[in-house]
Amino acid sequence: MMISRTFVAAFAAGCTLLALAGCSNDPTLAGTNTGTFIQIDRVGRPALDTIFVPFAQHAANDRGTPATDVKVLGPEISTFMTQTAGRSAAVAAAGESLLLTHNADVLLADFSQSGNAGYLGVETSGKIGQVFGGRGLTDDVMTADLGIAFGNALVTAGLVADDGKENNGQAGTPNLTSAGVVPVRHITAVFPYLGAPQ
Amino acid sequence: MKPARLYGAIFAAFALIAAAVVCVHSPAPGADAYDSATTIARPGADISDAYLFPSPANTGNIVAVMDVNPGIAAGQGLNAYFDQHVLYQMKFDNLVASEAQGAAPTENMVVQFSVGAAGSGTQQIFVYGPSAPNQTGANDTLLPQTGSGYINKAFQTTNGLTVFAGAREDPFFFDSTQFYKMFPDRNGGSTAQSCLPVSLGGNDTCPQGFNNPGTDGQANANVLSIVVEMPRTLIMPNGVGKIAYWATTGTTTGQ
Repeated sequence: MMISRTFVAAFAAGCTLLALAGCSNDPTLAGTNTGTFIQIDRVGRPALDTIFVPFAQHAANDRGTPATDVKVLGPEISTFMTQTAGRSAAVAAAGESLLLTHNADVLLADFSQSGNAGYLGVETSGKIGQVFGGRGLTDDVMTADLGIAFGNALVTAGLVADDGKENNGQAGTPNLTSAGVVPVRHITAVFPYLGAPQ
Repeated sequence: MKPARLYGAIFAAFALIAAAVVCVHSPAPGADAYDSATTIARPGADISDAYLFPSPANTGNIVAVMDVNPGIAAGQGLNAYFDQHVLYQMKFDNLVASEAQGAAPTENMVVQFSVGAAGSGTQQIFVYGPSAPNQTGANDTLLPQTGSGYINKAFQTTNGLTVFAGAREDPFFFDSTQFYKMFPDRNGGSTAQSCLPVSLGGNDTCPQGFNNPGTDGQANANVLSIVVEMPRTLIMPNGVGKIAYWATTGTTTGQ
């Protein structure tokens, strides 16, 4: 009986490790490969896919390069802002221009600047985020992105005139700009800065 | 079947189911998690977030982060491993400020990572670069190796990088549950009706939009993070100027 129990427990543990570690059946190890790797995912500015692009179109952006962003992402951002968010053409154009600054979905940082990181800081000269730009671990990037689509972030940044079509919880509109989340994270002042796993 | 064997079989089945659940992950995403059928099927290549910030410990250094494998449940972080078939890359364009009008950034400096097979609670991490890539675009090949270490342990490379690759608390926060109720087509292509007001195409079951307070969909979730701290001069001549950063994953099969 003990042998059976031990065997079954070992089998279960082995299966668990295999399932946790594997999750794939690609026979080619990356570290020893001299061939070509084909891109399957790409992330620059946070949540452009999640907010602005229908799921069916995500793969095109994931497999694309910055050089394809204006063609692939541009129309999706514009369509979401004018149709889903109901914004004016001018506000939609300003949003698309901001989110594709330098014609691409990338994080921009300015190493000439001191101070902390702050999402969209380079793109807006510090009117949104911090002038260093990049993205900090505590940046509320979703509020920033949703504020572009549904709020008055572009107006506040001086990028476009107000179209009066915000959905920001004011004047009886639904609040689509802020998720109201107060995160509890364990960011540290020492490397690697992200908190220990929970 | 004897009781001991029956219990053992039940335990084995439970363990397999639990492992499978961890593989497909909970529905709480990072900013860009679970964003295609390919990355859902290969969570080790699924980039949820990228970060770039000045080092809190050394103002001359920069910290780049790419998070993958989102939605690792609480208590499971140290049981998660990187995908040994994936090439992880941090790509930079340090000439972005001088690109021609209408041009998009093109990587001219990259840091690459690959991993060995997972086993006995550990996994080897290999680092390549930073240096100019062998080619630009969506296809990549390995650069000369500059260092190696092990999962969940910080290590140094010979060229001045401090690297950590392993499980971390997911720093991303968002009320993803409410967002997907409002915009269900963003959730894996769901055809459910939005809860927003009728004027916004919904069924008016959440006329308020986001709740206040909202629900932190990533609370207590973990990710696998690759964190690199390095002198700014390693990726930017003279260490000053504008730079573009994006993260990618790739496999030899494209799947």
